[in-house]
Amino acid sequence: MSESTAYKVIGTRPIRHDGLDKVTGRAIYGADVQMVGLLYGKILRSPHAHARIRKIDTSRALALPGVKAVTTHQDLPSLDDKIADLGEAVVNMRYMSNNILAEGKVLYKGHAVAAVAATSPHIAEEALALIDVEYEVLPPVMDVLDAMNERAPLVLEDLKTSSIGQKGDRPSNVASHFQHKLGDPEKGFAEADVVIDREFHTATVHQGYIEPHNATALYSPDGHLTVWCSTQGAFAVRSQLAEILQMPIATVKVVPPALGGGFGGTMTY
Amino acid sequence: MSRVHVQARINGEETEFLCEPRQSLLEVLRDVLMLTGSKEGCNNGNCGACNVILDGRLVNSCLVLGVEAQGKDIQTIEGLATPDRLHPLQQQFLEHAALQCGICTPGFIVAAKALLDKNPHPTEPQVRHWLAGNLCRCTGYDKIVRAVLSAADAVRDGR
Repeated sequence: MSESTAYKVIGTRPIRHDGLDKVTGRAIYGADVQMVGLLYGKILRSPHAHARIRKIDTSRALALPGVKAVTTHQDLPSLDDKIADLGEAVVNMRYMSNNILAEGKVLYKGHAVAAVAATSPHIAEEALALIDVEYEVLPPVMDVLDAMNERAPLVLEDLKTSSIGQKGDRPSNVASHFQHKLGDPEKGFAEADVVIDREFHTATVHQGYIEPHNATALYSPDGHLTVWCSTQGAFAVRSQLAEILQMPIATVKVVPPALGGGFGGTMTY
Repeated sequence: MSRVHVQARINGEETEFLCEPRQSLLEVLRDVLMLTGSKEGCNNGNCGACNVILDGRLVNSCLVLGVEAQGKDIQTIEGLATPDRLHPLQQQFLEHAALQCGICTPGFIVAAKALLDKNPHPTEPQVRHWLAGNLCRCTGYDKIVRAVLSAADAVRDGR
């Protein structure tokens, strides 16, 4: 035996503590939370990259047997511009709320427009087809360089560029302009033997975890909300929920069950 | 929608359930029978997280309808261990650290079980080829392959 066996940990092959539950299928992940009266949700998403929502009529969906609720942005509290620090990023809560369910405009293809809760996922899916949304299609902005053009269509019509502590005087697609400076780069370039100037483009990517995003929520008549969801940041989710739903944070509890991967991609929800 | 009465043998137990004709076997296992060990990853046959053994054949339960289970024998991850002993595959997955987040693990173990049932002494290429229908994003596949080879040895040695 080598001397390393004298250590309690180094040189040993410990079995992970959650291993037994995971190899037997007993580990509870977010979508494994079961309860009596559980409803299933489906989300209606925008087919347009940029459009004004003229009207949403949910009445036909609500009339489908098994449908318990259909929500749109009108059901969420109206939030003023409130900048909140949620751990990983500083966000404007109004934009975050509008991203959960679009208000006024859809800003990308796939933007959530309405949500259905029903007694089965199949009924919820049928109900989506019964929601009538009237769009006024607007010219989209498909490229970051085009978006920076002064004549580009405005995505957020009230957004002004914040630039080193200053706000721009008119709306722009450029949300913020920041600089990192050290030394004298111009002098450095002038003295360099070789200067290489290139522009690189990559595709948008997202982490490839296997577990789909999920959440199960229990709202009690005493005003308390408990949410089980796939998240790497339970406290960030709690803060966001409290802000977006305008509930006292002490009434919101977020339970992170076993998480099916994330790699940073499920940091918030 | 009216439901269909289905009888199947699940993990050795004669089982009856009611399901809608449009429900997948995965939905039935998870939402009707509460056997949530089979996971939904992609729900389109790519990831293998929902693997079960249907009459000796490895299938993605998301691509099988619940009504198709009529009269069939089904093995899920919940049926592998006995109350006092893990299946050698489960034990070797633990000892080889062949899992991290664990969401793909039930599918991999069930898939590997189907392989060892047919071929108790697979070569490494055979294991890799067989597990090509299962996706893992945390560990990489090497430790999983080693765990399966080691489990095959354990079964052979009666461990």
